[in-house]
Order: sequence, then structure tokens, then C-alpha cells
Amino acid sequence: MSRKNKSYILQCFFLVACGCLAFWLWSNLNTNLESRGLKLGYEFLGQTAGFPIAETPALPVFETGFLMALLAFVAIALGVAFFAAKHPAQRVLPQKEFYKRLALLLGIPMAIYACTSVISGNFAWGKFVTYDTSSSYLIAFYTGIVNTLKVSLVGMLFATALGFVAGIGRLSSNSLLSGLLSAFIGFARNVPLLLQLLLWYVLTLHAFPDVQNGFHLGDWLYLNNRGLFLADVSLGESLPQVAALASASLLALVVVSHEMVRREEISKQKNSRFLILSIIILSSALLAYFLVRSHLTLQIPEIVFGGRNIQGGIALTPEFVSLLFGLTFYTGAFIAEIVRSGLLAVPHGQREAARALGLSEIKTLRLIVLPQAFRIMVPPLTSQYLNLLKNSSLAVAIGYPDMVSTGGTMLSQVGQSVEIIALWMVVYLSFSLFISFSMNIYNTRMRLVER
Amino acid sequence: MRMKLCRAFAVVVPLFASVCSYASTLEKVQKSKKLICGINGGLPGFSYTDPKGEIRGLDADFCRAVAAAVGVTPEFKPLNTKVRFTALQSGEVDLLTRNTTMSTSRDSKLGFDFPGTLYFDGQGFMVPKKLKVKTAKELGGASICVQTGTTTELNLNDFFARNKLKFKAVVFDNVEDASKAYLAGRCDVFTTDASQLAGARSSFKNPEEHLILPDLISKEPLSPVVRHGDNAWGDIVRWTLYALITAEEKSITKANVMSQVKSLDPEVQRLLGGTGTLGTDMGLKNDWAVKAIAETGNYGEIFNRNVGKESALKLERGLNSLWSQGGILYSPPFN
Repeated sequence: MSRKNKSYILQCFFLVACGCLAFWLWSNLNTNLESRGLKLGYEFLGQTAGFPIAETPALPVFETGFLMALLAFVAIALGVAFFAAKHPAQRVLPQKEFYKRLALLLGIPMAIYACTSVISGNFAWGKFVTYDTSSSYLIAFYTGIVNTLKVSLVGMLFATALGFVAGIGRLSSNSLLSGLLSAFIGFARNVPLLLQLLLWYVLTLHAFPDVQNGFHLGDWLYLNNRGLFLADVSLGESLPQVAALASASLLALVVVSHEMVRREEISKQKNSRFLILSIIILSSALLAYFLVRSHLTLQIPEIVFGGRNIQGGIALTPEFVSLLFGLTFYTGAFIAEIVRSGLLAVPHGQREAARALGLSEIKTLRLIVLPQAFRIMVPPLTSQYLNLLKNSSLAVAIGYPDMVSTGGTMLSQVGQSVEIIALWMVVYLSFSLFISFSMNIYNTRMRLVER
Repeated sequence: MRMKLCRAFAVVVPLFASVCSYASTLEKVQKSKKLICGINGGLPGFSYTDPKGEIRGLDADFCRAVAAAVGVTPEFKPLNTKVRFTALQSGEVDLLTRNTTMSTSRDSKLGFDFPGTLYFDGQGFMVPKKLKVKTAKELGGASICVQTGTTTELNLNDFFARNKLKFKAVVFDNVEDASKAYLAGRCDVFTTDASQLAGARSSFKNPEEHLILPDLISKEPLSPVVRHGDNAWGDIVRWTLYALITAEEKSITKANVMSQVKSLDPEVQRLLGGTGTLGTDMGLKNDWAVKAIAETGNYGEIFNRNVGKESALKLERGLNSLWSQGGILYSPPFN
């Protein structure tokens, strides 16, 4: 028997063994649940939840058609980024034709659907839902997911910013700055995140006075141990239009500026980039104003419970803030080390060459070192983002209502532990895969092209 | 051999442990010579570790009584609210004595049985005295610290909806975190079962600065829990509880139980196994009740020692008095 055949047979055997094990576990699970009179299923998601959740952001609930269109759009956009790179070597797969066919296959029906529904007048993108205690378990879990995403996305942004500043600063020749930063990084990387979260939570609770003695700016801003409360400008029903407009103008900005840079490069002439871009921004802002004018409402935080508590407006709770700080500082410290190692990995000759050309320190960093360091930094950066997303599940320790917290309450109320744990895993898994997929696209586009 | 393999696997994947379980819980407990009880572990008065390292409390003592009745040693397993039911369903614990409220869905849908009520509790509110709040109806608009994964969250919502009041809940993973946040001023109010409020307050630095409001907003019959379907085991737990209650009624105490075996009261004789076969009918030795009472004392002794006047909590007997003394503890006759 050839070596190749042997390995195939072994692999088949392994696969069958895994399948058998999975089947055995699954049938055991079913027999056990049956013998306890328990049934697997997600029917409970439709029942009334009835428990309070501290932070209830507005949740977009899409119409099926719109959701499909949106997913197709995202898929196409990612596909463009993935396949249609400028240089063939930057593409993951070389078949540009395949992508084109795919885009046509998905894009044409989507466009037809959108056009017909708009013309026939029954186009509906969906609506916003806010959880209250009469909502279903599904909405409760959805609220948890959105809370997880909220803190994770803001956390990724902040951690990246902090990481770059700290990583670059640590290489500074100023020994006070680099010493302080290395002390901070040492602390943040080596103390368990849970302890840091508790520390931040205790600090935020004790740092601010109670509502009666708290700081406030008229009715517009309150800062006390219940959090930071701001007057909220609500866009009401015009929110989706504004969101669509904002993304459209952002897209226009990117495309136009990209195109103009390209033309500048070809014609070697400066064109009035600034003017055209400001026209786009101004016109979309004006359009947005006319769209929202009639829907605009102002929600001012209101003092309740005899002046001892506050409700309404935009609220940044101590739970959210301390979770955000904890995640930002912890992940930021790791990112700082990644940035430092990335910078140090760029050959020293590059810096010397830049200096020889007369570039300033900042310009050397921005034009020469960072672009090369990026290539090295992207893969480890991805895993830090994944860590941050998963670490946000520690929220439950400090009372932030993330997915694990709301799911945990559901779990003890309906007792369907297998189903809810499966839900948790599926949601974390799909978000993680999405993050690594997007970062992989970025990584591919940044890849060094060898000629 | 199959059993051995199966059990070896069950160690790795506890969820599947009960595939190879014994025919009955009693058989399993007697064979392994130990009774595994799921407890809270961090709740003064109910189950907590005292400075000497002993597990103390009402729930812990009830587990000891059942273990003594069966003639085995008790083993305690601290469980949080999220895993307590799964641990019982999967057979990781034989008995759940973990301040658990009896409710319809837990009894039917989750596949459990509640053999009886060990402590009649109700959900209450604690506020700082300086707020000058007198009743729960004045709590509209307040921030409330609460523990996740219990009936508490639902009751809270029901109460405020009933009274058309608003509130903001801050939900924590366990009672200690919720009470710490309350002490730090994150919330105006701390809510949980009244007995737990008393327990938490006894551990505060300045207990006199906090007031437990007189309103109880729910019924919380805290009960031991067993798996549905193993009725013989449920009977043993149920009648152990009744034996402790009857013992108080008949003034049988830890100290005098040995001499009471020769009591002239026929029911006491039947209970303590002097006459009849009540013990052997349940699959136990006939002196099961003697063993249980000798281990922990009667219900009144257990109550006073752990949550009553001899403890730091100093809770009133209230509903948890004998029916003959104004409470609702009522044991069926032993015959």
C-alpha cells in the first residue's frame, strides 16, 4: 500500500471515530434529557422574559427582504475587498472572473428586489425595538448581544489608539516617558483582567459623589456615582434615513478621494480635492438636516426618587465605563507590545535611509516605518481583537448586562441550559470569525508584493 | 466492565454522567457511603463556611439530617444559581439544599420534585436609613441592586408593574457583589429574600445604618429539591423534614432523643422506631429518625442555631413556627 493511501485510510478512520463519538454523545444527551422529562428546543425564545435589564439600547429589527439584501451587500463588499485587489499577488484567489459572476448572480436579483419594492411603495427596512419587561426572551438575548458588541467595538477602537500611542511612546528616547509606559504595560498585562475590572468598578463608584452632591450643567449634563447623563437628541423615525445617508456619503467620500488621488498620480497635477470633499460633506449634512427636522426630539435626563436618582437621556453607566476601561487598558497594553515589536522589526537601515533623505522623525515614522510595521502587526492584532471580544464576557462580574449576563438570567428562568450555551457559542463564534475574516482581508491587501 | 468504562467517561464529561447512573438515588448514596448536597456556600445562616472551616447553616444542617437518616456522611458542593439545576439534573448532586424557591415550572418543566418547605421566606428591600423611606411603595424611580438567575428579578418587576412605578435594576452575578455595589452607593436599594438581607446586613460594618423595609413582595418557600421520578428518594427527604418538625412538636431534642425512644407516646415510638416499621418501609434502618435528630436536633434547634435568636441573624420564627404556635409548619402524622 502506498504511503498516500495509508494516510487517507487513517484519516477516514479518524473521521469515522470522531463521528461515532459525536453521535454517541448526542444520543446520550437526548436519552438523559428525555429521562428527566426535558425537551430540547428554542420555543422558549418567544415567551415573555419579564426580567429587568439595566441598559436597553434600541435594537434594529430588519424585514427579511432587507436583511437578505444587506447580507448580500456585505458579502459582495467583502468579496470585492477579498478578490479584487490591485495586484494579482494580493488576491487570495486569482479568479477575478469567478467573483464577477458571483456579484452579478447576487447583485442583480438584489437590485431588482430593491427597485420593485421601492416602486410598489412597500419597501420597509424594518424597525427599532427597545427591550422592556414584556418583551420576549429573543429580544432580551438580542439586547445582550448588542450590549456586548457596543462595549467590544468601542473597546477595540480605544485599545488600538492606546496601544499605538503606548507602543510608540515606549520606544521614545525620553526615559521618563518610556519608563512610565513600560510600568503601565507591565501592570496591565500581568494583573488578571477580572481584578482590573473590579478595580475600575470600585474606583468609578467611589470617585464620584452621589446624585444630590454631583456635578451638573443645567439640565443637560449630570455626573455622579450613577454615571454620566447627557441630554439625548433623538432622531425618531428618521434614524434609518440618516444612517443610510451617512453611509452613502461616507462611501462617496472614500470612492471620490481614492479616485482623485489616482488621477493626481497620473497627471502629476494638484486638483481641488479639499473643495470637492467639503461639498459632499456639506450637501449630505444639509440633506440630513431637512430629513430629521420634523422628527427631532430632545430628551433631557430627569431627576427621580426624590432627587436621589436620574433616568433618561444618554447614560454612560459606571458598569459600562469600568468594563470599557478595563478592556481598553488590558488589551491596549498587549497591543502596545505588538506595536513595539512591529516597529523594532523594521530594519534599522530604513530609518537611516529616511533620515538621510532629510525626513523628520514624525515623517519617518508615518511614511517609512509604520507602513512596514503594519504587515508584521496585523496577525497578532487580530488575536487581540478576538481576545477583547471574548473577554467582554467578564462583564457579569460588575453588573454590565452583556450577552452572558442576560443569557444567564434566561438560563435560570427557563432551564434550557444546552440551548442557551449553544446560542452563546454560536454568537461568539460568528463574531470572532467575522473579525478574523475582515482582518485577513486587510492582511492580504497589506501583503508585500514580490515582483 | 461497561459500568467502569462508562463511569470513567462520566468523569470527563459530567453532563453525560447519568447514563450509567444507578437504579435509584438511595442505592447510589448507600453504595458510595456519602450524600452529595448542592449548597450555596456563601450565605450566612443557610450555608457558609465558619471561621473553623465547618460548613454551617440551615440548608447544611438539613443535608446532615438526611445523611444521618440514610446512615452516610454528607458532602457539600457549592453551586451558583446558573449551574445548580443542571448539577441536580445530571446527578452530580443527590440533593439540592440551596435556598431554592419552589415554583410550578421548576417542579414540572425542569423535572424536579420539592419534597417540602424548609424555610418560608419572602423578598424584601433594604435601604440606607438616611433615605427616610418607610415602605416599598416609596421606591419609584430608585436604582436597585439585584442578583441574577433567581426568581428575585421577576418578583421585582412584577411588584413595580403592579404599583405602576419605575425602577432601574443593576444585575450582579451573586449576592455579595450586589450588596457590595449597594454599600458603595451604586444603588439606592438592595433586594433579595428577607433572610438573605438579614444575613448580608449582619456582615456590614455599620448594620444599624440600614433598614429592611417591612413589605415582603413575594412568597419564597425555600425547599430542598430532588429529581422527579425517584419517588422513594423524595419520600426519604420529605419524611426527614417532617420528622424534624414532629420532633419539635413532641419536644424531642438532640439531647433527649435517646431516652425518648422509650416514650409512652405511641406516635413518638413509631417515629423513633421503637415500634412499627416506618423506617424499613422507606428502605432505611428503623432508627433513621433517631440518627437524624441526634445529628442536628429538631427543627426549632436547627432554626435557632443558624438563623434564629442564637445566631447573628436574629430572625423571628414568624411563619416558620409550628402550626400550634401561629406558624404554618405542619407535619402529617407518623403512622
